[in-house]
Amino acid sequence: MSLTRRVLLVNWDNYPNFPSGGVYVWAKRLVEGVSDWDFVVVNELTNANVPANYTVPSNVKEVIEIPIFGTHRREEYQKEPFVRKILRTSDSLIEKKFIPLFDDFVSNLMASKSDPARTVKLMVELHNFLTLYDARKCLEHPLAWDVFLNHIKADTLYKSVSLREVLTVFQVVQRSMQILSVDVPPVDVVHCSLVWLPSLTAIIAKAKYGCPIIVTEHGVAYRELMLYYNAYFFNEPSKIFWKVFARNIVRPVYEAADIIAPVCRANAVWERALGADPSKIDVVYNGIDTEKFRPMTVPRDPAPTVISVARIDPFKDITTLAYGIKRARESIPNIRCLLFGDSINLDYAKRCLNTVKSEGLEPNFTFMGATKEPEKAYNLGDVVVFSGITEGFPFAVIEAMACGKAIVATSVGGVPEALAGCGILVKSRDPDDLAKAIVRLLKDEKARAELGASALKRARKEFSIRTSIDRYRDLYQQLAARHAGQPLARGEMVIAQ
Amino acid sequence: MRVVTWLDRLTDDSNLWLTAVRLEERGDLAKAITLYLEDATKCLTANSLTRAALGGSCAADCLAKGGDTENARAVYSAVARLYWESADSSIGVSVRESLWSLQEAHESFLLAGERENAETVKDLFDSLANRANPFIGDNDEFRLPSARNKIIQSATPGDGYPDVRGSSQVGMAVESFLKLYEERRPKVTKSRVATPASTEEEFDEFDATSFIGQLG
Repeated sequence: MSLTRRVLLVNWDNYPNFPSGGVYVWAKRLVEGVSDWDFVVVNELTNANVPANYTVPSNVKEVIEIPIFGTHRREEYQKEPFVRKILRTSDSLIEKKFIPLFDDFVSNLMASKSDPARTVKLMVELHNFLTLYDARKCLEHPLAWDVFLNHIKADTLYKSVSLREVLTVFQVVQRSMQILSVDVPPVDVVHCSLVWLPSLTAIIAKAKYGCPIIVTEHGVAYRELMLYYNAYFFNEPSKIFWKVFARNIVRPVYEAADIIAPVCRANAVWERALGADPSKIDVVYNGIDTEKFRPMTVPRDPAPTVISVARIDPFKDITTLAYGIKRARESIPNIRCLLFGDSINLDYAKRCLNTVKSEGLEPNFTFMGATKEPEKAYNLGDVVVFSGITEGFPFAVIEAMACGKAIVATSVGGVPEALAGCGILVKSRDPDDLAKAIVRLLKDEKARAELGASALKRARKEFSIRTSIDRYRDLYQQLAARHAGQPLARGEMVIAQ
Repeated sequence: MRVVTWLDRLTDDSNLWLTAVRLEERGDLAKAITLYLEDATKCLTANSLTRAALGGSCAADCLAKGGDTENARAVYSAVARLYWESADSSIGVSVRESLWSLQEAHESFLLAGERENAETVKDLFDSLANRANPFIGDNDEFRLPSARNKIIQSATPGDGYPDVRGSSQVGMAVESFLKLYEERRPKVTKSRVATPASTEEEFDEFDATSFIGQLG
């Protein structure tokens, strides 16, 4: 038996299946960096049709994929025998045992003041039930819909919500609750890369084995969910439903967590506001390879060049970047902007392309596609620009800092903490503000050099990958030590069935 | 042709509520009450609940100032229920308006001396406000206004206000407003506000209406 300690890393649509974005980079560097610990990775997948040909290092002992949508049965993707589970899940059992539990659970998730401890207890009871019986049969039973609909009907707030919205909500609840039927192996520490429905796995693991939980929040899932749902739902009560539902999911996770390790202090503000115990919060900044990201000479066009490395995504607000370049062109006609990044949002990508075309920006603005050598991309520019409307602690910003570049970035999330005066902050969604800062730096070589030098110094001192990995290893050891004396990772059920 | 400006509209006598405000300012409480209630009655007939409640509330304030505590309480009670109904009907459109209406209903119930109803409304307000704002903690208390409570308890005729208790004009206006309010009251039951639809008939209606709404 291996004596290496184990971490259960809980992800959502991320490592190792989706090699894109900051959280993926973070997770990859974490498992590769903390090589003296073994990892079991749980990846909740919104879509079952995900890339399966990934590679993981040898310390990743298992990857548990949990498809939520797009599959007939989760078990088909695993090796669990499920026919017996289906056979013993009778209608009368569902009615007598499952429905009262589900009723209580839904009631708790919709309550204006729900008790996180009670939610945890119900989650564990549901887990105990759903590991013995068939989750799909239970959650798709007509009575489950009746129970849910009755809760909606009982609340005057939701009286004008459309049936379609109620069905959407029910579908999300119904599908996401499958996660409670998953049995995870015993581990020494659980590490969640977000605080949202996938983190229920962590709660179950803690309840069963007593293993401590650390949560890392990159963009504060709650905040990003609110942005998403505000765009998706137009009905105010529906938005409130999601606020309440999400808060009642998030709070038990904060309650169960032993350490809350956001990637920046800006996230900690949200966490405290959402009820997290401030004494549990310990910020761990992201780290980068400062050997790879460094100032270097690369062959480049002599024209004044602005670089942006960002996914083509509404959260990165590429259209504001384009309009900013248009304004800057009024002062610097030969300005050019190279945008490195791919897109999984086809509609938004089309919108960006159309903006560049309709504004006559084609000579000045180039979509370069994704790059495998971002360190060279940063070094192609005189100024590096970030126009995002929401950020955690973006790798791209600290990578550009480590390349010694003068940076213009929107003042969102952890960006002001990262730059700390070593770059220019601008208002988000403000092309004029962005253009002014770009023009100022492109016309002032001395300012560019000074900002670049201070950014380089700060990145090397504060944001090295080694520092970041060592902090996580320390936290794992700290948590494991708290459980010293207990048979770590081989523990008994803490909450009896 | 002379254009009627907003200033003209504010200062002429065509708007009952504004005229009532001016009369109240001048200290003519009896006439002010009559006009406030006339305005409230018109609004109630047009099913404009918030405006009816506002007019009624101003009339009740004047009744309290003029020493007619009994009628003031009766009008406050009707006003509170109108605000409550308004909160219920606006909830699907504007949660903020619904919260404001519940706040007004709470205050009006307090002024009417109906503490139990005031508490019920406060609970509804707390629940809705808590859900609308995810950053409110478990221990945060909502402080709903109750300053006007002092008016009804301390005001007596002679405090600088004329006594309106003997005015037949006032009595008739109050009676007329309350009569109209009572006539439509069966629709404004507490159960309609606080409890869900429960019969099979209502269930079917819920599904059908919602579904048809989506087809359109």
